[in-house]
Parts: sequence; C-alpha cells; structure tokens
Amino acid sequence: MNEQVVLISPDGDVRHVEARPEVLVPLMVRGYRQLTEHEEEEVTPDVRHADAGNPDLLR
Amino acid sequence: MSVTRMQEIQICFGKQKQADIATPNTGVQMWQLRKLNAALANPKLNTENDAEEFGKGHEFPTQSFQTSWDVNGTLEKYLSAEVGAWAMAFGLGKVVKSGTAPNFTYTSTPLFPASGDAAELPYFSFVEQIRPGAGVVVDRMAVGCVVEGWTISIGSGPGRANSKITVEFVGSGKYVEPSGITMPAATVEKLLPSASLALSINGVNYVSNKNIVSLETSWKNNVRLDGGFYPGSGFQTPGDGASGAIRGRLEFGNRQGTLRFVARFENGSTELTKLRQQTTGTAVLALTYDTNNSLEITWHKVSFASAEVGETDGIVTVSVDCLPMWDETNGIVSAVAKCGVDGICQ
Repeated sequence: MNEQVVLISPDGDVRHVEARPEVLVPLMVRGYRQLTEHEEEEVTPDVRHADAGNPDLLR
Repeated sequence: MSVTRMQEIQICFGKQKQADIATPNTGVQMWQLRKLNAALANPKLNTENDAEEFGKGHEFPTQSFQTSWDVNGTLEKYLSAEVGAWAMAFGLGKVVKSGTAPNFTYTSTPLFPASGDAAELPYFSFVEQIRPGAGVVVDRMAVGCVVEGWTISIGSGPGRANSKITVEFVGSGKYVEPSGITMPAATVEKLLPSASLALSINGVNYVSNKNIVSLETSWKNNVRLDGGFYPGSGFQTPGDGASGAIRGRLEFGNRQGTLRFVARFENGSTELTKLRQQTTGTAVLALTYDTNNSLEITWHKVSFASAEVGETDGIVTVSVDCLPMWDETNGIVSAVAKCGVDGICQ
C-alpha cells in the first residue's frame, strides 16, 4: 500500500488518495489541492466520512 | 584597496513559499544554492519627471518622481534534484508533497483557474550578499518573487554543463536592505547528469535506440507585471506615497510549454511520418541521481509541430519542435521530483 495524502477540492470534497502521480495529477488538474498539516488536524474523522453532511465544515 | 569579485556573491532564497506577497521568508525557510551566472537581481527604480507639464514656462523638467519598482533575475545552474523540485513547484504553482526523509516526492502541476485554482503563483524571497556585515558590499532581499519560467537543457558530452536549468524570476518590487538574513549553509545538491536521461516521446524511446542528441524543455508563465500595480497595491515604504509603487499581486498570463529535441535520423525514423500524420502521444523525460533523487517531467499530449532533417557533427539528424497540448485527464504537464529536502514550496 502506497503512502496516502489528503486532498480537498474547491467545493470541499476531501479525499485520501495514494500518492502516485497517476492518481494525483488528474485530481490536481480538477482543482484538488493538498491539505496542510494544520488543515488536516481540523478535519475530524467524522467529518471525513462521505455522508457527514455540510462540506463547509471541512474548511 | 581591495576589489570585490563576483565569486564572493552568495544567494539564498525561499525554499518554502511566503505566506503572502508582502511577507518575506525567514532565514530558516531559505536555502543557499550556488549558481553559474554572475548577473545580479538589481532592484530597478522607475522615475518620471514633470517635463511635459504645462505652467512652468519651459519644456525642461524641474522635478523627478519615484514611480515604481521592478526586480527580476536569472538563476543558471547545473540541474540537481533539489533545484529541479523547487523550479517545478514554484514554476508550475501547485504541488503535493509526499514521502519522508530521505525521499520526499513533490508532484507538481500548473494552476488552473477554471478548476478553482488561484492565478497567483507561490511567492519566495531572494537574497544576495557580498560581505554582509560591517564591510558590506551587497546585502539585500527581494520580497514577493515568482518564477517567470524555467528551461532545462540536456546535451551530449561528459561534463556537468550537459544538464542545466535556467530559472527566470520576477519580483513585486519590494526589497529589504540590509536583508537581515543570516546566510544558511550551502545545500549539497544531487546532480542529475545527462547520462542518466530516460526519454520517450510519442512512442519512441530515444535513449534505448541511442538516437537522442540534445533536448530542451521549458515553461513560461508570462507573468502579468503591469497587472500587479492596481489601486492600493502599495509602496516601497508603507505609507510613503513618494517611495514608489510596488506590485500587490503577480498572476500568470497565457502560459507556454515547449519541448524540442535533436535526434539522429536513420532508416525507419518516424519523425517526418508523425509530423505528416499529426500523431499524438506523451513525452516523458526523466533524470536520476539515485532512487531518492530524480526528476520526471511528463508532457501529457504532444504532436510534432515541425521536423527538419539536418546534421550534427557530420551525422544526419532531425530537429523536432513538439506542440504540447491539453489532455482532458492529465492537463498539459506534470512533474514528479524526488529529493531529500523537506518543505519545498510548503
């Protein structure tokens, strides 16, 4: 299993993805950026869940 | 009286990005690298005068005004894993860091405002020093610089000069003198020599067929310099309207990528056919020091814009200009840089 990084889209969709170029590049082109360590701390496990509700909570 | 020779020049610049255009890097966010060119990044003060104003009774100037500041510079270096990672991250604008020491991986792509990205590039500070301290000759820091473009040149031959990178940068105009920065120890770089090249363009492995002679690839941001001066963009000395305006933003313009190469041309070479048929494919070039230090650049869709048969040192060669195009999935270009330095463009 490769290392994972946490990306967030402009509209707040958070994804944990493998740190491989073939995975990262298409997402980066679509506007996803890496969460900073500080931002990652603010994203709780519950909020990471896909059905957690308001994506604004992720910001 | 002693002279000051250019060999004394030391530079350091932001390994990490600035918090914003106006906030300079601190010393711990910087690294010192060596360079090959002597050119200095001189702050340039632009002035105007009142010669054309009516009411003076003559056509001659009576006053001069500080209007604005420019800073630009060029770094020429032997290509290393470290500066390669830095140039890709700051030059393309978006980076994802992964890995741990000694194998940090920086995956970089250009910023795409249509996908919600900013149009401002990451900022860094650039310091030049010659004998800083009591006997100072030069000690200044340009704040709010961005990478205007980079060019990587790979040639044939045994020396380090066959693998070089040139990085052009432009600044907001803000500078600090003296810099207040204690020059960090020089970073030991892992060079990426020409002999390590792996190259595949449009379906042809130009290294395994031993045909590649040279190549050059580049990226240019065409930064909107005048757009940095907007109402309220600020002054060299905050609150002093006579100190000259500085830029409050540096946004890229219409960006351009290039890839051109020269290869031996022989029976079965496909460059002319691919030009006529406008065949498209990827172009991947990789340079490696070891498993922890490398640079791989991928142009995700290229066709040949021109292919001209000529000669190099008496050998028949073909000179090809590629046209990098937009790929719906992967965009225009991406770079994967590995090195042992943490925090680049973070």
